[in-house]
Amino acid sequence: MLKRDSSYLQIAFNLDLQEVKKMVNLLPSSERILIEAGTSFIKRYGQRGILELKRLWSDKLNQDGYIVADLKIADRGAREVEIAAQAGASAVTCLGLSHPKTIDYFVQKCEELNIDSMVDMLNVSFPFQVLQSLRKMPKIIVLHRGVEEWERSKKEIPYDQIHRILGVYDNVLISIAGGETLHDVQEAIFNDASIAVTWRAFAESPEKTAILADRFLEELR
Amino acid sequence: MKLNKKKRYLQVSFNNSLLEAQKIIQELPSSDRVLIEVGTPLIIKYGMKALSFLRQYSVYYSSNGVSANRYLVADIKCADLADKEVRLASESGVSAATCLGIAPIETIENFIYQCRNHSLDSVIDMINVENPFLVLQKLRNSPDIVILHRGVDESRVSSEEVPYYQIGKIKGSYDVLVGVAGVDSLADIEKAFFNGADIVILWKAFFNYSKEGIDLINHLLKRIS
Repeated sequence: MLKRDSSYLQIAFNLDLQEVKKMVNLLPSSERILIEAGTSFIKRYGQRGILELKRLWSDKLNQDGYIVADLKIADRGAREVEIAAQAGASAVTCLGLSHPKTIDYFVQKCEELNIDSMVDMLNVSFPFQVLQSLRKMPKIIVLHRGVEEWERSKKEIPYDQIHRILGVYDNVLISIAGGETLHDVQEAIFNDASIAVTWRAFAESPEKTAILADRFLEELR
Repeated sequence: MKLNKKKRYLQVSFNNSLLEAQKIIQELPSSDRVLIEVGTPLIIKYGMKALSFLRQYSVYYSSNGVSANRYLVADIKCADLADKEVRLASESGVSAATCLGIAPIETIENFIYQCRNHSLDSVIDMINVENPFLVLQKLRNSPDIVILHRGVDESRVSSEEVPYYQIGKIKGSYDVLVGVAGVDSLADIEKAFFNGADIVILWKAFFNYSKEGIDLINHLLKRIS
């Protein structure tokens, strides 16, 4: 379980399994690192991919490793949550643009299976409005700038939303995705996000995984 | 576009297990009008192996004995990183892949572009999109297929009607095929075709193998042929 007064680095993996295994082995053994089985990684390897990451990371930590299954559920999510939970996922994601009833059901399903629910606000203009439409609050809200949104439109990361959300919903944790530099991670944590998600630096230089992780970890509170 | 705009199609969506899907696919009628959808839960469970496995069983024989591959849709529901997801689907030998209409416009555009590059049909799934027409208006290039839904999500269909008026509106302005999901009764399926749908997506009757499911598809096939 994540601690409210800590901050975490979530590293998303989307490369091929052999490469990802090497990278996870290079990571420092830190509970502050959350391992994300990226959406395309899961679509490529399925449940087995999540299971492998769980085993690898738990072996490395010598305790239960935290694995995020980035399923980006949009519809009919119960089966997918079960599949991820069976593989040992600690958290699963659902899209904030799904229907509120789909998100409510997703949050409830995650509670039943004792895993953390993450609602990903990719392409949501007003995350606050989404939260107001829910009957059940997720554990974690992901404020997200998508890859194409950054590459094609240079969209900003909505740091301003963090306090707006935390001011009203004090039981949730905020995760920031889509910022890739040390400065981005620093800014996310400075603005009271609990989790900073990163992938690009690791994917571009897998051999530097250990150094990169150490540098990013220094930015956490 | 790999489908014929003058024909109507039945898309059977598989979401349970690969063995159940295999069993059903082998009993589906031999027709180019029956399309196979590898559902998201199967992709999440088995990864791209789900696509290549079902690809093997998706061969049918026409009346003159010539074999052909069935049209296979990968319901990957892309929401980000279209380059990677389309490439993965394409490597598994599918005919089409899906992207969410609620994804960022930049992603949908990239998805359509990548599908063209990989010779896949691009399918935009409008689940929970209030006005699908507005999404299409924002795109520089149209997808090949647009899917409209009834209700909240496919497992909890509400009393809402499929937005049938949207079918004519979309087809009147864009050179796309329109599919309808979330219709299960015979009357609703016929209503969807009557209102101009080119494809109807069926899943409930095919979650588990049943003779009723096979009878349904044979019956519907006669109606649309």
